[in-house]
Amino acid sequence: MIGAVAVLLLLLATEPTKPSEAALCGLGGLCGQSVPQEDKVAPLTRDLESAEVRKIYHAVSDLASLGEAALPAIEKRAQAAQGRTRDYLNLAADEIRSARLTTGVPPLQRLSMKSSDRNVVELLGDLRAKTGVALSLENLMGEEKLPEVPVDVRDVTMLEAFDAICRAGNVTVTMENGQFMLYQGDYQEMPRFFYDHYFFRLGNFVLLRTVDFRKPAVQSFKLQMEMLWDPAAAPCKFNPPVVVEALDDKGKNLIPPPPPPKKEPPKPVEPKPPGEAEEVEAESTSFLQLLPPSPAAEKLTVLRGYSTIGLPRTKVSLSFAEEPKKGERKEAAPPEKPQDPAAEPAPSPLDGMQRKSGDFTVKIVKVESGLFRITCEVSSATLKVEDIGKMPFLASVTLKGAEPTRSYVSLWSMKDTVAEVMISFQPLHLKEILVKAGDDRPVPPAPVEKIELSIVTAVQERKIPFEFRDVKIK
Amino acid sequence: MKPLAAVLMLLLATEPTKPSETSLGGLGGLCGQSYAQEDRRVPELLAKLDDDSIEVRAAAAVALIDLGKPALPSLKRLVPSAGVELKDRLNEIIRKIQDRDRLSSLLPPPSRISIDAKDRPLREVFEKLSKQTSTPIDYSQVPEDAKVTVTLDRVPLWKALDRICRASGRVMPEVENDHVVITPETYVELPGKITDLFCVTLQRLELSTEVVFGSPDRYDRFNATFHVSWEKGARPYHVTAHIAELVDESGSELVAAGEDAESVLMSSIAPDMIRQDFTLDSPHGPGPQALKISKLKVEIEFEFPLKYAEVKLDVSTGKVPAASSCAEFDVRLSRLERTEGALTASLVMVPHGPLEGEITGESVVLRDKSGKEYPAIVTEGTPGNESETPYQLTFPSAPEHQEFTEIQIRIPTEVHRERLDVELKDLNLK
Repeated sequence: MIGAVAVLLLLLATEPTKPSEAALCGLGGLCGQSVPQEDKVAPLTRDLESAEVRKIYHAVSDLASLGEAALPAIEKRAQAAQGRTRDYLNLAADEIRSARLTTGVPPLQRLSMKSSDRNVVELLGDLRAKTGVALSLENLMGEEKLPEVPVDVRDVTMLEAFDAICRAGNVTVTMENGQFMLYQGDYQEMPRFFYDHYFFRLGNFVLLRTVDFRKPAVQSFKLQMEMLWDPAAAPCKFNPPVVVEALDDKGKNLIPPPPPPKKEPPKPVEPKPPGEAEEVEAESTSFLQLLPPSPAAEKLTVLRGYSTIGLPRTKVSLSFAEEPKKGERKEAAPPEKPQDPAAEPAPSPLDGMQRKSGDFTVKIVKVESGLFRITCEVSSATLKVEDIGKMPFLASVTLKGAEPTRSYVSLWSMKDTVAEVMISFQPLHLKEILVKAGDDRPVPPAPVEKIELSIVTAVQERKIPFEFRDVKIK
Repeated sequence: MKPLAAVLMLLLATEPTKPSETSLGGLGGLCGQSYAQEDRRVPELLAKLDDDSIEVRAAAAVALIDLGKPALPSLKRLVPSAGVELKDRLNEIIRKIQDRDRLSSLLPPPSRISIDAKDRPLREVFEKLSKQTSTPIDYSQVPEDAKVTVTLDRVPLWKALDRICRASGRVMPEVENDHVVITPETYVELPGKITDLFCVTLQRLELSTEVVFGSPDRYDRFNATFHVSWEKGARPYHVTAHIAELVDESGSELVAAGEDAESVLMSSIAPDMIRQDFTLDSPHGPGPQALKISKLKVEIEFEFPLKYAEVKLDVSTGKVPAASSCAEFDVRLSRLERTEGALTASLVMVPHGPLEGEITGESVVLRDKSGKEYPAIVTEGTPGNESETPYQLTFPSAPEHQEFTEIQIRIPTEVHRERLDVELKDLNLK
């Protein structure tokens, strides 16, 4: 790990101290415009005092999208503000500072959708076309005709629209390996919060009394919170969420007091390189530990905090595609013969292909289209295999005919100097009609045309806020 | 008066006044009580065996079993003249007493602690206690300045430990896997039950409510973690336990008596273990706001093997041996080889009828020429057909160049079951 940390620190040190002009405009900044920033910041700051959570966080998002030019005005207002408003302004300022350091995260779009004559698959297909979100709709397609469902959303994020469609069409959403999984039925009315490319929902709560007969009984209150995201803005690291405000309707503060300082003398700590943070492994589903609410409490009036995630800051990307042979003229492909799915698939031309970029060498060991997986070997000239194994990986797999897939990468094994990683992918069938074929014959797997594997060499932390109001507990 | 009573009057007159000394050391025997008192109880208990109340009859049966061998002559005399139901009951009691007696000859005798200390250092008292039991006791953490006054006369180990700690007030007995540790902390009486053989303590209760957002249901769960301890060498083969009754503060039966509650089974208890933990769950709890539990009854059953069936497979040639059988089962090896350094084998067992036990790690042992034994790790495979059970055996400690002679497979065919009811009332949850 130390090796990997050293690389990350090196990258941190070489970061340009002054953001480039391009980066300043990256967040939809108002480059070249002469409207005083204060005039734009002032009305949005007023929105931060709204009673409507959605309006507040849209205002935070809009403040962040003003970019670096608005930073002094936002910081000035934050200094003068108090309480939540100051927190929201500081969050907007943090967003501006961190945005210039992240890479590959698409800018946030808001959209509107209104329909009363389309079914849930058609609506999600439309959302996919509008936003490019990687959704596989296969689970929702059946032989029965789906009912038309009404949807009317305005000026919403992709995830807000997605949730509204799923709610209208009674579709359950889960997230597995960073990809959305959709199932017909059982949509649960969970408390939800949307911010930017991220979506939090509260799953359940457990109130527990533990009696050990040796000391007074202890009560605890634990809320399960799950974070979902647009796969295009997937975090590669999670830190446990932090709750900054939690009150029940009887006015009880539910934030646990800090643990008492340990009486033992502090143990000598090995000096760490500057900037190295404590590593805390966390998951996208976490538990918020709070004090138990008052016995008569019926709801939590507010539950506010943030979750710090890591986003790719720098990455090494290696691309694998079949190169046309010299002198070969590209002709229209002959019509494909129907393939027997049971037949042994032909080896992929990408098998054995090797690419090098910087320190890293990646070899495609085997493409198994029928199993929707690709095995790769990653090695480094300077890093130990254990350190490679700890680095986040990203992948993009394109099938024949430029058919996109959704994909994720997992570490498979580590041997000697090579980390074996497995890319799993699922075709999105964007070009097919959204109706299942009448027969049950399996669709033959399409050959893999292009693979892009990225090794994240440095991550940028970003605080993603959450705020729930009036959460019923009785 | 029922006809039984007349028989009892006769028995009362002919009952021997003093039971034999050996029977007192039996399992669960009421050692330390006066013999004459036990004798007087026999006819009373026998009379209660014909009572109209199930509870009275059951309690009388338990008490008679606890009396052990001294009650046998009276019970046996009563059998020929008893009606069908009573005869069954008497025979069951006689069988259990005899099983206990057989078991007491297989297990080490329970420790009896005698100490007379007046304001003596606590460490010195534990040192004396340690010399009277084979169960290891670590008292190194006992405060050096702690003193105690306590008198014990042939008191069973667990009761002795509890009485010393209680008298001191400054230490608690903690049972680790294979020894007892006396820890320096204020003595607290834990809910539980101590018998001559076993110490059962309720360590922790968890009362929870889970609510899934978007669902109208609430799930009130209850779980109780117990420790059960026995003396070194008196390890049971299996322990099963279940909640027999759970009543909340308002008198509502959350688990009703007679309800089929899920049992937990603890098996593969290592030979040197003296403690086993188990957690009993109920999907119906009083909720985390509850401040008291009116009643929690737990039934624990300990199984001790009395008899084994055994086969030996000759592995002296280093090749797959011929099948072997005994009256209760056949076994055959289909493979015997070294896999990644460890000696492994595939074994198939075909029982001739229902067996009390199954093949576990302690059922299988590999022997070398010198008689040295090598234990096995046993994993049950997927049965190919109903009558055969396949197992994979691994002998991780069997050296590579050793000459082995046999694999012995031993399964209990007769088991004594010892039941212990633990009834806890008015548990304070504050």
